[in-house]
Amino acid sequence: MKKMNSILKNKLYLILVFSLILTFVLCQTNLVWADAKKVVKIGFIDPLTGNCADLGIGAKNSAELAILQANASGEFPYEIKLVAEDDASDPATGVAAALKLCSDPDVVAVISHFNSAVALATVHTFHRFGVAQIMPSSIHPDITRGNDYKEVSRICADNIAEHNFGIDLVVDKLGHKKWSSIYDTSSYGDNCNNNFKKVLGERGGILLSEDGISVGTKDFRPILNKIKGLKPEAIYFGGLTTEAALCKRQMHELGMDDIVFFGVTGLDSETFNEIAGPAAEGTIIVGKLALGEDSDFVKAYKAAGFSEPYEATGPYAYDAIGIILEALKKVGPDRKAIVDYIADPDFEYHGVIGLTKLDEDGQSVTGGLTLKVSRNGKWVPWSE
Amino acid sequence: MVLVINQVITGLMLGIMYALIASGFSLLFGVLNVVQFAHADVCFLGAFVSMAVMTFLSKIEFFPTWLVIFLTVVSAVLITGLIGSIVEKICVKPFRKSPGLIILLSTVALGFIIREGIKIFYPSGASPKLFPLSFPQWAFSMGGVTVRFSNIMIIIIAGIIYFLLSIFINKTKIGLQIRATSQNVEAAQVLGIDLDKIFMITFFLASTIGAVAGILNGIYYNIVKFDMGLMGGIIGFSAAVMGGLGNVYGAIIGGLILGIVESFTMAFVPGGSPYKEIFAFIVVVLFLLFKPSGILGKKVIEKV
Amino acid sequence: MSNLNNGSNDYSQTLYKKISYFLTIIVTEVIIFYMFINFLSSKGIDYRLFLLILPIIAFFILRGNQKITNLVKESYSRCNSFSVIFMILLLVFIPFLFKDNSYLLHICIMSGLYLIIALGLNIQLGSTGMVNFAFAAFFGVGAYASALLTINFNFSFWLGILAAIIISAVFGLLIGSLTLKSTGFYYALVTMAFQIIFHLLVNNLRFTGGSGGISNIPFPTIGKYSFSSSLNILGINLPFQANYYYLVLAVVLFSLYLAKRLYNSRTGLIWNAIREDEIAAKCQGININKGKLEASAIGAIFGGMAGPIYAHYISFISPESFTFHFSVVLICIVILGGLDNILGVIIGAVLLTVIPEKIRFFAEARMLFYGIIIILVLIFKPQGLIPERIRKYNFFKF
Repeated sequence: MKKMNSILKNKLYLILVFSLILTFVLCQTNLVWADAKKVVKIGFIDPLTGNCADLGIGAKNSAELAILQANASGEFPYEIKLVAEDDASDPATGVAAALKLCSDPDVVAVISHFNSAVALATVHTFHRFGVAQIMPSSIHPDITRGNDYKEVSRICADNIAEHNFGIDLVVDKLGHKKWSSIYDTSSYGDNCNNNFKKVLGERGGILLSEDGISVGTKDFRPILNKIKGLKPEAIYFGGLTTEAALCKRQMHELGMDDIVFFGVTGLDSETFNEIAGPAAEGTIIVGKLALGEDSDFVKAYKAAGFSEPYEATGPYAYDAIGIILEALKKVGPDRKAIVDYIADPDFEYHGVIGLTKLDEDGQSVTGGLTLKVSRNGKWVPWSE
Repeated sequence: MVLVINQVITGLMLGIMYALIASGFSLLFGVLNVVQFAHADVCFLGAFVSMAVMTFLSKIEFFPTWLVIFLTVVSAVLITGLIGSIVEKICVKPFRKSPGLIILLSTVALGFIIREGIKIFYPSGASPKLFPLSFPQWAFSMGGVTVRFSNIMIIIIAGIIYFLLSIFINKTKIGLQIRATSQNVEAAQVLGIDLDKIFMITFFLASTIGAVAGILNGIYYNIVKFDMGLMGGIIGFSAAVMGGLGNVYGAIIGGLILGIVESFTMAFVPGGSPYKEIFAFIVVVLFLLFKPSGILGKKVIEKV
Repeated sequence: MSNLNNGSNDYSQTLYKKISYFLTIIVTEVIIFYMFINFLSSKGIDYRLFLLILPIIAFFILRGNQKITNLVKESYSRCNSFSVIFMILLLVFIPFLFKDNSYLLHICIMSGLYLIIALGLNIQLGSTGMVNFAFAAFFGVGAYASALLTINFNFSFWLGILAAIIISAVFGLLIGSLTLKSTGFYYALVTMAFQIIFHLLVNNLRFTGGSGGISNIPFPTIGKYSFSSSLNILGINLPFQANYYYLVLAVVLFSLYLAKRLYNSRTGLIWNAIREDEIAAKCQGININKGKLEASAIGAIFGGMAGPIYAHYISFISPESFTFHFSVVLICIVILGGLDNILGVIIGAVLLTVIPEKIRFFAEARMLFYGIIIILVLIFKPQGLIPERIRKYNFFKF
């Protein structure tokens, strides 16, 4: 009996040991399954979920389009793949995604981040791993100007440039001197407000009031009631589309249509006109580049059959990928060589957004900005 | 002074929304002695249901606009009521014997399911949605004080709802049964009241009121977003606690106080608008410290 | 003569037994460890996840066998300290396995941190029956306290972690004391309010960096050795995450020890009594207020302890990491694993940190899944994966 038991025990041990060994052996088989054709990966991190998801998805589609075209062109001896990660507009998630991409040796460069807060958090990671990071759309000045990492570059205009551009028109040409500012207290809105104040002060405007609101606020009437009493000539909104559109809509309700409503690129989305409805009429913004319906990029995007619009971020993401592809062509799939190629002072790239030329901080000195005004429920380029 | 009156009006609007949500919390707590935390999510689900119904109905061309609007509101309210009773079946009924906090947990989880469900399954549900209904833009001004048609309509609608609710609770047989259950569950059971039915009806009732709150919210603020239920739930719960959990009239007072506190914070505290919820919560905590039973609540002595 | 024979027989018997215990422990733990490694290194849903099924099937086959289960149970109760030491040895080995993949180490660190916070939550939600929705806020209080102190006042990381623990304990006490007079619902409400207030404050205040958060939080140092440099052990270069991995491992072990001691202590018993029936507990002469305050303070301490490690590891914190959602994730961990069960909390924390990283569709609808998990577990398995055990008071060993 005792013997039986011990045999039985041994048998069960055997099963256990056997399953362990089997697991181990099977685990090693992935070595056999590995690569057939060499793959070069380009990383992509943007908010694919959360508040800014529509902008992130637009950028992702455009980046995919660029890569699709590159693979189809047959100019590369390897397959190029886009590895898209989600940062959900959250810096910690962004850092985790950046770590994930940088740990993958096949990833040669990364296009990343709509949100400046996320970008500020991840630049250190990319620097540490020596991976080129091209920012198509985050606009906090410090991302490029606050460090001396040559891995980091940005192809859109930064916040200060945007405000200079806009205030040229509304203060100097249209002559609106008395302002009230409403801004959301996210880092984007906060920066907008600070840069706006600075630029406005330089041009001799007067700021009557400034009010911070939290993102997600839907009732602006208490603030607008107060501002109405101050009688400003124009209201500046530092924030994103939803809040801005609600604010403009409620201004209309409170009979404040004679006050000019002005904002920068954060408002540049057709969602603004959709939510604000007829109240949107006359809103002036500094917009990102407006592409004609007949441009190659727009046509190709339509032909590719993405269900989402390319949004304001699309062309920039497309160009960012274009820059990396050009670098791949010139110097090959090597992280360091790509970083050096982009950081070269003679670097120039002609793409959808026009000429891209970077200064010593890796900040684009060009980056296509357009003034836009809302007419009949659409953004149209400003004309005198 | 003009500014103060204008702020009171905006605060009152916000307060009515809160009050409508808080009444649901109180009604449910009164009868079931549980906190249905997903209640606010059910309310805003009402707004989304009405949007979906409206899109569907406006495809039928021969319906006149007024009929579309009428059908939209009625069916959205009824559907939300039904969803409320389904919620009772899933999240409350299995736990009727467990401690009340288990129901709180399960309904918090349900709230997440509703919110994320809208976000994922409603067409582009992650971005804010423009609400298709709105009141006419009529308004009259008197010495700077502007009263809009929408303000008056919201007050009237809320009045009608509370009037109907009080008639239902006080004058009908089911209302009597609900009151009996809320006083003493065991005694009500002994008297032959069908608890399952009462619970279902209460959930239906609370959810219909909530749907009206959700739709009014959409109409007044022009926008609905999937995650509004979270803050709405916490503030609505707070308002109900302030008024005395279980007392519907207390919930109204609590809601109005919180609404006015928020709107005053935005207008009169310099740089205070991002902190408006904090001021509301401070008021709530003060109530918890100095009058834990709420404004109209009775002091409960726990018996074994 | 026969006596002597017997003695040597006994001796060889015990030796044989001892060896079989050790072997059982080694085999089972290596299997568990191996499953964990496979689970961690699988990419999405791939064959390695299916390999996990093998040991699980083996487990279910062997579970019916009385002899084996007895053997396993006996070996773990007799050679408790050996099992713990062996597991620690295996865990120490992890950075060497993942030395080329710092991302997997990152996941390990995160699940360790989640585990620490969840242990704190377990004290309140599991042991005392207080539903706390503010654990993300306690975590955040710790993270912000340490980050601000090290940046603005040149505190060292170690002093920062101490300060973070004290500050979060104070907040825990404050919240607990606000609701002493009222029922559990009010505690839940106040913690929700605290969670929202914390998020709003750090999101809007100037000195916490607003929604941009705080970046460039200094790395911890020991003497001249900075945690940002890569760790070199026996000539093997480990990524810099290994430093944090060992730090987190140490803190996790300390927290587990603390949690276990608390669970077995009189305090733990008092907490259970309060959870089961407050009035009955009061009649037994238990000071309920004291018990509740202890639970709120000690629970908060665990959250406050994890915060600084997170802040200094990521070297960046922002309000978005400390939201209501995160609190609910923690609640989900505790409920899934099993209320008032430390082993359950471990399993819950590991499962719920690794799965979202692995399975893409899970990550996108994360909160939806957490909600569904909570409701399903509450309905079908209210005790969680590992049910609460009946207390044993014949041995107090870890």
